[in-house]
Amino acid sequence: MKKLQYIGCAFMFSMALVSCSEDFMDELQNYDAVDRNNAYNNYDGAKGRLSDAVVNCMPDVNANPSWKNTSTGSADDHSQSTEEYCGFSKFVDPQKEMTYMSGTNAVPDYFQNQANNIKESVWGRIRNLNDIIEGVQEGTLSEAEKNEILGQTYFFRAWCYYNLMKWYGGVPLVKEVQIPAAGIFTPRSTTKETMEFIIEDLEKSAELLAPFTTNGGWARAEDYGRVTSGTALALKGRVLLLWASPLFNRANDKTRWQTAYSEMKKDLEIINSCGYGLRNETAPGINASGWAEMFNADNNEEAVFVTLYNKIKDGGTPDYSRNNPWERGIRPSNTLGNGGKEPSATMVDLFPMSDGKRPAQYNSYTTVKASDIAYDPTKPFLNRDPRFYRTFAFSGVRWAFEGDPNTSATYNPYVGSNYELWSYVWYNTADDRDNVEQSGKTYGTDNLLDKARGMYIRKRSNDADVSKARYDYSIDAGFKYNACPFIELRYAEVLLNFAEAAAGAGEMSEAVAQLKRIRQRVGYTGDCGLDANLSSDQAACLAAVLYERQIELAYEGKRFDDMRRWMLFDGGTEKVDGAPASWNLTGWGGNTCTYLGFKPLNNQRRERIEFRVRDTYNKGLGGDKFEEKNGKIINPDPLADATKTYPNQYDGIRPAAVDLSKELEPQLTALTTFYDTYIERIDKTGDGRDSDKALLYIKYLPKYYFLGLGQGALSNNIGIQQTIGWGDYNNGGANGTFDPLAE
Amino acid sequence: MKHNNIIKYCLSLAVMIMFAASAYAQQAFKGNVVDEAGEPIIGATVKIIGGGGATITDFDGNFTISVPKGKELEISYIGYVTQKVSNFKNAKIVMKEDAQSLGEVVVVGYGTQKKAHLTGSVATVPVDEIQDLASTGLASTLSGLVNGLGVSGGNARPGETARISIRNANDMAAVGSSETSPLYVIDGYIYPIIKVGNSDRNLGEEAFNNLDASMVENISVLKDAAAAVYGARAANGVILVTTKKGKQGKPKISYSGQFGINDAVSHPKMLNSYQYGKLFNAMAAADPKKTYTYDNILHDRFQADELEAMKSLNYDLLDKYWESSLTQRHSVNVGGATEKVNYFGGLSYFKQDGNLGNLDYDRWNYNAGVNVDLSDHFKASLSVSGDYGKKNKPLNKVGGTNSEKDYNLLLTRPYYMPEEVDGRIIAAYGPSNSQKNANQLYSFSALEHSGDYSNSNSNNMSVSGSLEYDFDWLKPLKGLRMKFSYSKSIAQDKSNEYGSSYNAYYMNTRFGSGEHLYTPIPGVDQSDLLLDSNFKLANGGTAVSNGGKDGYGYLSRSMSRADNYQMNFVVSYNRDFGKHHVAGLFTIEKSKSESEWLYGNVQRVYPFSNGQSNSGAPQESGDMTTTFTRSEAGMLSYVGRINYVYNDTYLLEFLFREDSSTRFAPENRWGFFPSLSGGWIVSQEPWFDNVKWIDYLKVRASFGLTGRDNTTPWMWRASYGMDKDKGTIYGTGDSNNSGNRISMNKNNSAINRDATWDKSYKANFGIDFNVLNNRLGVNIDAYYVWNRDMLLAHNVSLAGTIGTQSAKENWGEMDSWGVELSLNWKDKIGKDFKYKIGINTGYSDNKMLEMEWATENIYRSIRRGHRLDIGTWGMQCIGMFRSFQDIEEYFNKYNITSYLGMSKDDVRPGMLIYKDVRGAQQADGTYAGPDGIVDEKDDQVCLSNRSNPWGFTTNLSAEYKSFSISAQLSASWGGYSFVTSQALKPAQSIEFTNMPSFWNPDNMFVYEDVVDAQGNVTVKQNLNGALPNLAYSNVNSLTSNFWRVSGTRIQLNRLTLAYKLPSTWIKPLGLENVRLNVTGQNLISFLNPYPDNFMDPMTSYGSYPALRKFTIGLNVSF
Repeated sequence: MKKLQYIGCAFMFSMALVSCSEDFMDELQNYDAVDRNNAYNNYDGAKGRLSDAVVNCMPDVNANPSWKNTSTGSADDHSQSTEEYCGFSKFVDPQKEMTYMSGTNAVPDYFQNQANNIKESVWGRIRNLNDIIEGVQEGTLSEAEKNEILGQTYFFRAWCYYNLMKWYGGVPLVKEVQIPAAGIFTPRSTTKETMEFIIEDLEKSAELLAPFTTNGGWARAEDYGRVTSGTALALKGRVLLLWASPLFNRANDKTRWQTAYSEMKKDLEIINSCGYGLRNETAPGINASGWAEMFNADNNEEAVFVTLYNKIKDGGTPDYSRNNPWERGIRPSNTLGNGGKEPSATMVDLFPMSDGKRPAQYNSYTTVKASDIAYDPTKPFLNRDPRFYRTFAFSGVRWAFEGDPNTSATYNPYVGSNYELWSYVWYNTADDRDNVEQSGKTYGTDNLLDKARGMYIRKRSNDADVSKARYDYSIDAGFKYNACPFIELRYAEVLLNFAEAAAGAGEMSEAVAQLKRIRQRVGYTGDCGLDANLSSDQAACLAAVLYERQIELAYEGKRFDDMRRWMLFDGGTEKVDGAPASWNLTGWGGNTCTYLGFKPLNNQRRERIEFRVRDTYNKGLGGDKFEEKNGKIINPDPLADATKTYPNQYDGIRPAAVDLSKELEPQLTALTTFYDTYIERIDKTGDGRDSDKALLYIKYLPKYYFLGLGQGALSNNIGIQQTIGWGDYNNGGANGTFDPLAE
Repeated sequence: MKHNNIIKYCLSLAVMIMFAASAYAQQAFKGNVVDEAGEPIIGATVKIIGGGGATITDFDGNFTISVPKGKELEISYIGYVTQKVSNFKNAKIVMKEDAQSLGEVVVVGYGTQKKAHLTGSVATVPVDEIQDLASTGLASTLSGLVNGLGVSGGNARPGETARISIRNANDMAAVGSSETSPLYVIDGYIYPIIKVGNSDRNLGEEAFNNLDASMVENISVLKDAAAAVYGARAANGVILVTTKKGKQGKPKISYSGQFGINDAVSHPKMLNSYQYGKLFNAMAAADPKKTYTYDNILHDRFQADELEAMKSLNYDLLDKYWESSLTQRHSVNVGGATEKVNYFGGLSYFKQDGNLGNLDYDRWNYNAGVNVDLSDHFKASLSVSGDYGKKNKPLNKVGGTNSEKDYNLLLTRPYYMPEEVDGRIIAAYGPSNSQKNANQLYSFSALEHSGDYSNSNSNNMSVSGSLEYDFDWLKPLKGLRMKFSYSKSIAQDKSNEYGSSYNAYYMNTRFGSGEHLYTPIPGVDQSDLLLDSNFKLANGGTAVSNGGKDGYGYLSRSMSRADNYQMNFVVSYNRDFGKHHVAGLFTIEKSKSESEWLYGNVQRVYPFSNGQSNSGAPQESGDMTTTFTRSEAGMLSYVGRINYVYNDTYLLEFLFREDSSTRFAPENRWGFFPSLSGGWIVSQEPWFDNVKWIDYLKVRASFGLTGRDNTTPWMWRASYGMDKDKGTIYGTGDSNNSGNRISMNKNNSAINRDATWDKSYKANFGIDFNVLNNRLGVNIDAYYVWNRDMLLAHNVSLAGTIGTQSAKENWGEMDSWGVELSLNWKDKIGKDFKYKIGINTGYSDNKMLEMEWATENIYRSIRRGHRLDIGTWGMQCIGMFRSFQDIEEYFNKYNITSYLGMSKDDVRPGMLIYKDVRGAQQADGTYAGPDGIVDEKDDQVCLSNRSNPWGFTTNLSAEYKSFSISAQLSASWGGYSFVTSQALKPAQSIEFTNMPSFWNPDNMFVYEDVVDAQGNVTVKQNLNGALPNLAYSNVNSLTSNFWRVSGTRIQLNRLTLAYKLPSTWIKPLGLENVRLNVTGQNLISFLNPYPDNFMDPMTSYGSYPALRKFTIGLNVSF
């Protein structure tokens, strides 16, 4: 028994010693998550982190512009502030003034969003990127692996700050992962510091990514779509151009133009070395088909900064889908699209004529010569710039796709391979027909019915005549499962940025050379419609570049930025309350619009085009739906020949639809006859009217050039300075004190 | 703290070790111990004072012991005054009952203490009083028995358990404190809170609730700094449980059983069919400005003929399906001890059937153990205990997953709707004959007969063993003990669910002139409506899924296992030196817990599913999912305690605990929690003998620090979640996955490496005294708690540019305080009548000193220096609009521009009038004066300062001969209650929601006569109706003084009548004790403040009611 005692005591003592070691606690793990070491010491882990941060930064076609996304060309707050779409966005609404207060007239919050949610905040995504930078730098990846990850991370941090800078000027520069504790506060830096920080990040990015990408782009096909040195430098060009633009450069400081020009010229070579260029530059094809092909091409040299999508179905777990909704959005309803996007009449009417010059009726950009070719608004498709036909679709044009929108129950008239767009309309009642003030209810042909549009936007369409379908078409989902990419920054823009910087720096012939490259790609030859005076007249040259941007980049979400950059709503003449004298525009003769010959957008309206059945055909009246009576299908279209059976009711009425893959000239004659005989153009109310039905006009307030912080952003950042011209919620609504133009 | 600290502790322990010696010689003594009634006391301890042996009285109270010359005996038994025997001539020893149980031994952490020597606020649960109560969980039986211990919930659905909160720790939930439960320690084992799957499970609370009362020896509640012995987790108080062990003597077997009936305390009173129909009409026609066509009067209102028929319709489904249920509990315990071995074992079974369908709960408990003296100074013990529980619930996933859906939808289904028509299940489509909400598809009978189930099993087991060595053989080290113990507990859970699908129908055309009824109008032949073609599938033509997708069934299974162990090495010392009593304790404690969870589910299973995953018919990749997770945590602690008592008069205790936990960063892991307390038993002083009127007086005070690990585990270090999808896409081609990403989300981005324990400084001052010849005992405890460094988040003050939410930081400050008063009167009248009255009462309050103060709605937010309970805020109702003129006048008089978002044109008679109290909050935080805008944001007033602050509980008991009775009564007052908003508006739509009886349309405002399509008046104009029109419930159901009722509650919680069979009857049968009892729980609520008494204050509207239980119990021991 004694022995047992000794053994027992010894056991107890040894257990006592064992149990008092703290080491076991350090071995315990958090299995709910990956710890920092595993995330950043492992190549795949670091890439997973990058993917998480980047996915919150990538442009996305789905969304209205917000804290997260820029405009991608839909009828959103930005594009509805330009010539592209009708409808007053909050930026141009003449009846409401945006304020810093929450509520219906709140200024959009591109600065903060949800303060306490890293996934839903502007600063959350910057935090995420900073975390990657710190984690990777401290980690044990090889130098090359680190550079590959960091190079991409710096690019996206710059991208986030660029998006802040373009709205707010100077913002807080958060460069590291801050402890989420009270008392930590980062004030707004000056705009110049912000700009320099962005440039610094972009140059770092370009340098780090150079070994991987300057030899023709990423070596592995699976890396296609990642940003490159070229992407970074292309964005750098955009930033430098923004910095030189009147918005930030009120006195027209030439050195900024000079810097932009020389940097962009130098960087262009590196951009080229990453494999970027104008797609189909040497193969324009017919009617700009090469240009049209560029938007949906895979492995595309034009796509300098691109968001990729796939055609995987959504709803699974895990859900690997990420579909591009653009094609679905622009297609008419009788293709099972979402109904189409409708351009404003202004935009349709301002496109160049086939000689590359502006239509004479469009009395803007008057420093550039107008075309001698007469423009007929009733048949807008006659004699236009080749890009017109690829930017808009009109009644009587072929627009093929891969798929069949028909079930036994529908009256959709065509399978995709034969698809023709006919979209003229009629009225159901005489009251609707005669009501000019309000857009009465119309019905469109070919089963479009009340979803018909006068004209359609065709830009970026995955046209079956041009390129293979990148979608899986089905009756249930139409074009939903769509893998077409979205190109945020195209090589054409790189050239246009360069051209503008060159023009601003006085190197006009360099500018013209770039414009020529752009135009030659769509089939222009010779001087490409660019008059000789462009090489000598700086104002004309700048106007030509801006006009070219408006055409080339139409419906890509870029126009509003250009208009703000050049202050094209009022020419920069209107004053902001409380603004110092340094805000006065002293360069460009004190008015950019006058300087460019541009007609300011303020006090203008945008209308909708409608092509309606002429009154000679049943007074322009028809039914509101297809009906079956006595085994016969009654077509509501007044032009349909009721003596013939559906769908052959248009035999002898409609000509063959215009096929863009053939010469246009002979085809357009028949279409002209059809238009002249059967339908007429009416411009219906696009932008709104007031309650007395009086017309309203665009009103963009000068304080909108630099946005103020909203109530939420202010209360989430106590102590932050409000932008001049906006009330400060943290300070009893007093005028803001932050001057984006101060250095 | 590293190894070298151990040495420090060991040295300090050595200081406590003293030297002593003694010697002895022999003399035999036979005695017999009885109580004042002459009944033998079994198991009383007979001990030679100064050491030398001890024994225990046998079945007849006899004992034999050899007493060394010159020595005295000490005889003790719980509940009796300890006696010294020096006269060995008289063999009969009569023990006196101890009025205040001062000799009682109380379990305090890591040991026991004489109750008399307590310096802290340690309460004991009168375990005897809970033996007769049948309850799902032990926690719910404790209500009202311990001052300062609050119990909520746990007496409704079978298998649901109550929650305990000590000294209102649960108030702190208002400032985001996630842990408000006390720490549970059962037989020395500290149960952790552990993450299982995605939720935190308080294993202690579960283990405590799973205990059977018959296995419990005692329960102590540490309310003040005495809990510091449990350090970092003790700020919410500690509940210590000791389970029964074998007692010296021959084997003793006891059985206790209960058998009883559970039924609802009450169900809410609802409108009958006819009243419902009228109410519906009065609502449909409420708006006098709306123009009604013949067609919508015909279809949107019940017609007169239909209402007449509805007078005899009464499909009260709740009444049909609700049944009283049976409950039973049986337990058998065996125990005994010899000099060397002490053994025990027990088995118990509890079962509670449900009152609604497939609902029941049963549980087995077992425990067994043995303590062995391996040699004179070396002891070992081994015990095992556990439980096995099984809970069946109905699976209610039609239209959502709310577990109260079954009761709620049965309660609120209008009585004119039968469950089935012509054998078809009928969806609860109302007059519009359309589906407003998926809840309309719920069918109790379909689910009841479908074979659907939601079963869960839990299986918990603890094994513990210990070795103990004492140094009594070595004179200098006498009183020193060394003990090593190891406990392991394993908790396993499993839950299976199966949901099928069924067809529900609606009738295309229904009976009655407005086609609203499901049953024919007497005398009208419409038998063609029962043709098959008139029945259409509801739910848009698809079968109703109980959890699955698109008309299919569904399956899920989850399993979890948590493994925990705790290791203690304890050195203790306990010795008397003359009038000095010294005790010390030191322990090293290490514990670790780990858990794993596995979950899988299948959507779309075949109708012939065998319940296994291979019977699924998945169509999409997400139809089958599997998840498994793991979590780990560990703690290392050092605990020490020193007690010193002089002459049983002056008491001093110092204790500390040093804890470290993986919840915090290594450098912040350790927390030191000391406590100092002292007591003075004034009545022991010689001079106190002069104070005749006080029989006993003790004052005590304690001050110490406890902690709260109120944080997310691993918050201290950066971690990242893994998302399988929704990453970026790269690469050429059209089908690249948007694949993996490693993400920082809200929670894992808020890192605070500096976080450490919440600190809770606790002071307690107590006075215990007995007067009136020990008949009245009074305890008063006053406490004050300084909560400091509370882990709270910053929100407003955190700059948004940081990019994430605030990590919790140690910065909150809150004080709480209170007084607890217990009065215990105990007396005898005559020889046979004994009675006791105990009253527990008290007052508590708190104030928040530092937190992130609200910047919006400041006036009804927690404010600096004010209590956490902000009371109830609501609108100030100043009447009802009874005419358009009223509306006009009100708008003009107060310049109202917007009334709850409506313009004047939208306001209607029949709406309540609320006052425009103030305007919008201004930039400086103050509020503008009335601004003509009446809205919920700015116009609320305080309607009740706080929930009932005053109250008391009375426990009464009386015994007459073999009969005894005990009862608990409680009362509370001082705040207001409100008619629950659920009773003020139909949950989704009045179309399928019946309302409580007080919504009798005869009492409701009706603007004008409501006619049917034939022009018959179905509801009369009632401009003087007391109630506003239910049609405007968006306005009228807002919390306001209109719906305020008295908050005073008086209720009889429990009553037990018992009869103990005389020992003369049972002795011959070899039985020691036989007792019969009848017990009732949740008996009567004396005040009902609700309109039409539509519900009982003990229940809550719309969910499973509290159950009234009656049980018959039998206790036998032999």
